[in-house]
Amino acid sequence: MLDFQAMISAIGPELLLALAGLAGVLAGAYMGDRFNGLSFKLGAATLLLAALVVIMNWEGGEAFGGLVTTTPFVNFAKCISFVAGAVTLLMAEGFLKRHETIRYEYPLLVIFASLGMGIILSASNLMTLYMGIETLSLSSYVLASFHRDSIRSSEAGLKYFVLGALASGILLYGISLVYGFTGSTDYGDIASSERTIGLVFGMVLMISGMAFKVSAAPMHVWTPDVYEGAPSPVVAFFATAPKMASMVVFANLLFTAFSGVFEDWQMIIAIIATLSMLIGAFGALIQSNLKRLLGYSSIANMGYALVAVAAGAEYGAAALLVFMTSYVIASIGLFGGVLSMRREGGMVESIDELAGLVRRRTGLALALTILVISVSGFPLAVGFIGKIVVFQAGWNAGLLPLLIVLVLSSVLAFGYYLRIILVMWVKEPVERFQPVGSTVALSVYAAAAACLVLFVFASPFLEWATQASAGFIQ
Amino acid sequence: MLPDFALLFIVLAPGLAALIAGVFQKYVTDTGAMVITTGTVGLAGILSVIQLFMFAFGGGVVEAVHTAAPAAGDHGAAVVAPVQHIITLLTWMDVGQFQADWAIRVDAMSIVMMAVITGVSGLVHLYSWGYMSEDPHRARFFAYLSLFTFMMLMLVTADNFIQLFFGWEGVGLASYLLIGFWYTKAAPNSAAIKAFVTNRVGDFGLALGIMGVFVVFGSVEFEPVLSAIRENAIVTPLALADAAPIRELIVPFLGYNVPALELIGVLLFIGAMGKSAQFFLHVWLPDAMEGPTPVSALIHAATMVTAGVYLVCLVSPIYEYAPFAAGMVTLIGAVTALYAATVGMAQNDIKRVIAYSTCSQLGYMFFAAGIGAYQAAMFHLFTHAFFKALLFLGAGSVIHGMHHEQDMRRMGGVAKFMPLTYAAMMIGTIAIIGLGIPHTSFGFAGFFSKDAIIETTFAAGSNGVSFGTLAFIFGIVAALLTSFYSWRLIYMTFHGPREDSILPETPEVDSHADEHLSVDDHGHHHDHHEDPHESPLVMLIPLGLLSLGAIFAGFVFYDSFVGHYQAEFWAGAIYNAADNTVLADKYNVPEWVFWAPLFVTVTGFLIATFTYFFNRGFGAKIAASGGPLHSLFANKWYFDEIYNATFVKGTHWLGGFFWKTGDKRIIDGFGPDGVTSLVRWGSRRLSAMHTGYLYHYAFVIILAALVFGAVIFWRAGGAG
Repeated sequence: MLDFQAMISAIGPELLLALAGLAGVLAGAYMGDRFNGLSFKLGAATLLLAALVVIMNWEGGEAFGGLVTTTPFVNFAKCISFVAGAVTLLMAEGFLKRHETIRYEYPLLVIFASLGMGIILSASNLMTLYMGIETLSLSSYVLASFHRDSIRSSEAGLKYFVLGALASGILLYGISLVYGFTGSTDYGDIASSERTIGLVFGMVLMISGMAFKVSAAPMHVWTPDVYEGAPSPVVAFFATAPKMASMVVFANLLFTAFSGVFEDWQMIIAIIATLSMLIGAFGALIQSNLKRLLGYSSIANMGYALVAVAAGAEYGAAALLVFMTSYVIASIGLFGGVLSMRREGGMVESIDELAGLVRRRTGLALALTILVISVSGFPLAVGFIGKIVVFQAGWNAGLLPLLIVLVLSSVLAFGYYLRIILVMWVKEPVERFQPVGSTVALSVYAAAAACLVLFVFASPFLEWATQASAGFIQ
Repeated sequence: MLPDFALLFIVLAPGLAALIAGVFQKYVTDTGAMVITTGTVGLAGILSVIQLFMFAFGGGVVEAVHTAAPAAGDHGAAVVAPVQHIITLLTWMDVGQFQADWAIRVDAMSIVMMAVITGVSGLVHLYSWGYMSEDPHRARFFAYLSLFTFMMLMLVTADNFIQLFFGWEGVGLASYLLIGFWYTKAAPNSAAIKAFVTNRVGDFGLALGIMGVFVVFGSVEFEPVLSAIRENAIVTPLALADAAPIRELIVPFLGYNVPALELIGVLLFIGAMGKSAQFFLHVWLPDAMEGPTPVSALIHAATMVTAGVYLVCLVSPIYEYAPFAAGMVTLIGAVTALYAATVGMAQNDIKRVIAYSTCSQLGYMFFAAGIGAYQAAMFHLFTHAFFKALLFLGAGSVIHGMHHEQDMRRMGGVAKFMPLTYAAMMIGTIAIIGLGIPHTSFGFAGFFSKDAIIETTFAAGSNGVSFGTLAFIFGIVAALLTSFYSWRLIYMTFHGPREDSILPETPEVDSHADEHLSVDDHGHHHDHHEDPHESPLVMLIPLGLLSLGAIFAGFVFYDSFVGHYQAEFWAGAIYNAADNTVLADKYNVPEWVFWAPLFVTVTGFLIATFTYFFNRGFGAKIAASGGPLHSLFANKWYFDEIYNATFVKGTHWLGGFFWKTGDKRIIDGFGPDGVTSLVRWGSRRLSAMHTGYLYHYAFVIILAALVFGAVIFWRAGGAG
């Protein structure tokens, strides 16, 4: 009985999402199109409820004989991921309705993707990890090609699928090598086993596979194309919830299972972080499509996050949570902005379309400015806090070369972030955007407000993240 | 003295009025702004004048002096602590020893200045009702005027160098804004910039002087600094030198060891030179006449330009023990007095003549201060404010009546159209040339103050004060020239036939005058053949009141300022060293010295009468003959040309060099532009790698995984 209770507390959220997803499939089968509208609200409610369950079982526990172990560190990420999933789901509804592709499968796919996130975050065994990744990935492939009539959407889905399969293959090869050289798939056993070349090589392959999932360079190649091609609400989802989950899983894996070979992976992570920061900054500079620009921006931001990972568990864990949270908040708002860019005749995505926004839609322009300031890591918004804790982590870990790259690429990134602000504030206004759904507007304003509030009240936020990462500090 | 709240009103109310008129002009309207500013400044003026009379004749202060310093009678031979009342408003800066308050310092110096500033300012405000009646931006004009008044009051009531500097810069700002008031035209704009830039040169000196004061004394408040000098206290500089009695303290400066007081004295005087338009830094004042005439009367005649004189007199202890700096003050003052008078003889613009006359009179004040007769300098400052404001406002009245004509060659015979203005100008002229009978009380204001300066200067020369005799000679010659150009102005403007046909209407003869014609774009339809008209009452009342000042100010205040009661009047606010007895010695100069000013004044009058009254056209003939001396005077000794060729062109070239070669080619080329193009190039290369082909992407991923593996193998060095 006690065992059962402990198990529930460890896998409660995933259990909830799995049951809700299956119930949704049934409901859809019976109700058909009548379920379409309702499903979005119910899906969001389910995700929020799952987040609540996570908070209720904050300290976590073990289940399935050690296949699943939750800690406050992963619960923090779960919580943010589920909430981000819920918000992006609500933002998607209006968009899909206008494109007449509103289907109950969409929220179900988001729920199953979230289930995958929950599983990978809880995983303490390589098998659990792989299973979760596949759950997340398969849902993502379908979501990317959700506009199946659109050639761009289909192309994006296909590219994502093929490359994702390749990455999964690399990851699985790595897992098998690790198993082969340590004799176990359990994180704890791997951590305590001897350092062999096979183990390290397997780990490098796993890192390559995971880097694909978080779209870190040079495994980022899919990102710009998928961001540009996939429907905007889907990209909003990709850029937030799975990013948060995958990055924390990535860190969790390295911090626990590979804690014994820290020096080896630190080097690889440092290379990946450097490449991501530089490619993200340089790549975004000449983009004219806002979604593509945000794609490069996310690559650069993953680079910053990986600096925190490279700093190691002790210094970097809390910084990673803070940085990723601030990034997710800003991203939700910015994609809300993308979703607001609707004119007579459809969506527009070029940066130039934002010209003179401040005179046409002052509130929106102001909110987007705050979000851009935040994501660029400028003071007055929470992005600054995120970047500064990452910097601090890197500094404490003595990663001076990485920090130099971080600062330089941040400066470079101002180039394209400021262009967005410039276009909104200085350029001659163009035609007014059509009004969008209230959830989108609300999300943009709420995200902007959160960026400011969390900047002002940064200390409780930082404290929360520090407490969640306390388990890594010996 | 007045109660504190009245003092607060005098100093702060003009600032408040400026704020209301300036910031809320949309709500209070032009008329509202005019009423508010004129009302407050006028009331402050009345209060200040009452205060001055109370102070000079009330007796209460004399008692205070006797109780505070019984030895005050014998010309400051003893160390006298000044009688002053300080109202501290707020702490401004409090950083270690660097302490400065917002304060109102009330002593003899500030009481005199307050009366001059608010008195003249109130009248100028009133006058402007008439003069600016057709201007569309009256609220802005009156706001600037009141702002200036406030800043000037802050300057003179400061109890520390920092507030003084604040006021100093504030009046500079107000002056800039008012010179360029008609900012849509080119000439006022460049004149405003010229005034501002020239003053920066002086202000740099002043700022260095204040820094020097702080380093040497460890304080920027007047009283600790000045009393240390009076008592020859041992001061410990914050840096540069060891503790020593202040009068013997030597500090290093630019590799030389110089006495600290000399250094500070020279630096502060450079600031005074800029603000008071002394030789070398005088070039901005004539151009400042591009501003509206009431501004010229208030700022560029009566008050702001005298701030330099005020500063030198205020820190009189410094100059008493800095003979070199004092000698420099004397020399520059004497040269300016003579130089400006020569240039004034050959000008044709009515306002420029008066501007050079101002410059010249400021020279008188400076050399008086330089030889140690600070009281005489302040007295001349005081009387000069009345008659010079009167002359400017009278000239403004003529300009107004002549429909913005400023060239005296196009005037003539105005007297019969504007009898009251004519009378006022006559009074002003008699006052400035200093007409009066020595040894009697018959004389206009200028007679008392200018003769006091000439006599003290002669006494100083006899006592061996450096440049004393030179200043005396220059002063006498300048008095001759002053008389000549002042009467020339009267004759050319008011007498003779109406001769606007002497000059062709083409602008090439005097392009300057032509610039002023465009003032007419609001209201007046320009027509040379229309007869001049007398000005309205609001412009005549100030003329009348200033005339009273120009007649009586000298007689009434002679004894208080420079006469037998001067020590009681100044009450320690001005300090004379024990060996400085020029003020007492002025009674003992030879008899001819008393009569010399009268003699040269009458001579100047006769020459002017001969050339411009009886032989009208004689002066024009001299001008037309183009002799070298006339060219030199008419072209202001080519100062503008020399400065343009050296400083302006030089700076321009240097700026161009740093801009084109230094910044654009080197810094931008290798810095921002170079980096930007590099980044763009990299960005484009990176985009080119994104082909969109799946197999390219897959290749990149696999390659990366292999490279990572290779890196690890290389690192591990065959660990397995």
